[in-house]
Amino acid sequence: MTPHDLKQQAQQQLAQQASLDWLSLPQKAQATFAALDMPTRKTEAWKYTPLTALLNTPYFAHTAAGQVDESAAADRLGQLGDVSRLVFVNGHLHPGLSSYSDLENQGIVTLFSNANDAQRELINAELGTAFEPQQHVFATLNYSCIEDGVLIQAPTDFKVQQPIQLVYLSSGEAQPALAQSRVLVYGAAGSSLELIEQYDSLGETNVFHNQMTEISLQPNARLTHLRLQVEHESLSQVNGLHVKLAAGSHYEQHALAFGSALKRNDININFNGSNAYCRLNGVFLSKHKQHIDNHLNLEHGVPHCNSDTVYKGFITDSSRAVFNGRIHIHKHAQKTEAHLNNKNLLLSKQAELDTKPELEIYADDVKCSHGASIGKLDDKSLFYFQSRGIDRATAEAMLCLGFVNEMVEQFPNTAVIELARQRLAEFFNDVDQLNHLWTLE
Amino acid sequence: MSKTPLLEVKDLVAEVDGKTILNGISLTVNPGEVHAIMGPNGSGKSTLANVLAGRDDYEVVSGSVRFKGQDLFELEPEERAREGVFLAFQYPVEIPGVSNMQFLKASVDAVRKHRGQEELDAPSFMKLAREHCKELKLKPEFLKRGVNEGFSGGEKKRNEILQMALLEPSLALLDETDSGLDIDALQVAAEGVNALRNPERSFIVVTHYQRLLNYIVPDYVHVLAGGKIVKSGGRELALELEEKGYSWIQ
Ligand SMILES: Nc1ncnc2c1ncn2[C@@H]1O[C@H](COP(=O)(O)OP(=O)(O)OP(=O)(O)O)[C@@H](O)[C@H]1O
Ligand SMILES: [Mg+2]
Repeated sequence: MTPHDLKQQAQQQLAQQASLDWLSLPQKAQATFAALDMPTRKTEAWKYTPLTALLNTPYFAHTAAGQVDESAAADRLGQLGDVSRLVFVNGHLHPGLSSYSDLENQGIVTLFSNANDAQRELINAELGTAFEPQQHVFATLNYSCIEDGVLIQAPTDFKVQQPIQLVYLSSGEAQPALAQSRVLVYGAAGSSLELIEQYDSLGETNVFHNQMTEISLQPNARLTHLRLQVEHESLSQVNGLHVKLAAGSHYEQHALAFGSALKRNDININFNGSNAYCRLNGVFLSKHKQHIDNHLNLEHGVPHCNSDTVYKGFITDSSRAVFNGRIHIHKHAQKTEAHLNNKNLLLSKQAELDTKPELEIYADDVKCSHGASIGKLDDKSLFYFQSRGIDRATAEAMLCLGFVNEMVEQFPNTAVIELARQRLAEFFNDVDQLNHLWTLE
Repeated sequence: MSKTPLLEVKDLVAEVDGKTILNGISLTVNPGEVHAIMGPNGSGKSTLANVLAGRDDYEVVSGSVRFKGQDLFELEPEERAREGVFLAFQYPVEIPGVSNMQFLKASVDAVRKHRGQEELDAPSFMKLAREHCKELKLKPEFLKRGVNEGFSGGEKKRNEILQMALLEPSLALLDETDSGLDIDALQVAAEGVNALRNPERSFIVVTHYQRLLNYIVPDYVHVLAGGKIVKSGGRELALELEEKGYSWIQ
């Protein structure tokens, strides 16, 4: 097998499916995808991402939602209260598990396949514009065939009260399957919206999930975005999130992500109008032989915008994690204030973390900082626990949880915090080395 | 008739990175007694308290410590705590992400379990913790915050007293618990300590100020200098030290 099987395979498979005929993007994306090489170890941005297995697996692109045990699926959704919910199983909408008719009737949540003329126009105008296609080969793959998608549209000066929960469930298929899904969020001027993306799974899965989320916030629009990527570790996923911020808009993201066979997050923030603000608050965890790759890119292209990025990593066993956070301040982006920090807990000698905060500044009147640290559990803190009668193993577990929880407790939605904690409990349940971490130097 | 000592330190020598810090300390504390330890900065007061609590940065070179008749060095720090040793730290650490309540509950659970007492359910524990907070004039919000996270110096010290009150130790080592407390807080903390005084429970109070000893009246005062106890006396020694400083002893 050649390492480019995924590409050929995908092209053959997708050729048998039909995109929505009014969309202009798929044709362009196909051409770009055909012209691009799949990344290798030599591709700088993919240097640490282990793609070999993915590229050598013959995935088939399937056309209908997989069979699921509905009650098991319902159990995974959490109790998020009054939300509009769309559930996708291996990339396809599962109507039985979804409920969003209120927001659908208001034109706030629309499937691409149900879009009216104005919405079609909006989708054609916005989709694929928040990033540079040449640099995101998996995005062009995603857009090569668009059978459907979700448009979330917050109307002008309107506060959408109900949070929108998008759940992407991955489950086992008869053959390795390619699941692709996409969301376009358009916050009209002065609107506000809360979006919860939950990437979850029903047990083991042989799915490769290629996801695209594009967000366009118009002047003074606000989006609170919560993201849980808490799937089974057998999953492979490449996830692109691309955000455009117009003047005075406000984007706040809180994320919890677990490693898996392969997980790659590309987050790309574009400041296009002044006085916009972006906060990225994330924590990633990897254990066993998992992999997680976080690539953040903040393009400060205009003056007077601020960004605050704090990412924490918890890496143990023989897992591998990558953090690459880049702040790029363009020549005209004066009075930018941008801060980025990545703090990691590396608990095993076999685990590996590559962290690279990057600051590229071409303007002279800016305030910026970036930093990264890698540490182990603090001896003084452990002794403090022990001096209060708490045994060493419990102390370590509590400190690890505390490290992660410090981020999770900042999530601006208590029901999502609760759900995150349930998944964290599952995660920590079987960290092999949590019980004998102290034997490590 | 002599009682069995609660704590018996004999010729204790301890070092860190080959540097001797405790240089032959002997000290006997009987049940119910309050001992004050004073002495210049860097003389080894905190080291002594930490060695007793089980901090492993220090190497015990020679000497012995018996606590309730057993060899203290045989016990892990958590076992010492469960047996009744409590150290109120000079500099309590901050632990973000772990709430004070979780921490206190885990601690009290572990200690009660060891003592054969039944575990307190969450509501009873919360009630108890809130009551102690009230006595120490700590707002109940402190229980929800990360352990010592963003607490002021004085709040950290009061949090140590809160833990002591919940754990009901038999030997409390208070390492400069008075430093950083305002006058009112000092009184509140001292009341917290005095409320726990009983014929079985003993205290070793490390302080630089004789003022604290007006509130917590000691049975003995020791002066630690250069890793040794260079003078011991009654309460009046503290007054003398306040007046004359340490130079006349050394
Ligand atoms: N972990 C350590 N590594 C190196 N030196 C240490 C360590 N701990 C203590 N020391 C040294 O041992 C000496 C005694 O320190 P200790 O903290 O016990 O003094 P102290 O009497 O409590 O002083 P203070 O009144 O300032 O609190 C000091 O010189 C200190 O620098
Ligand atoms: Mg000291």
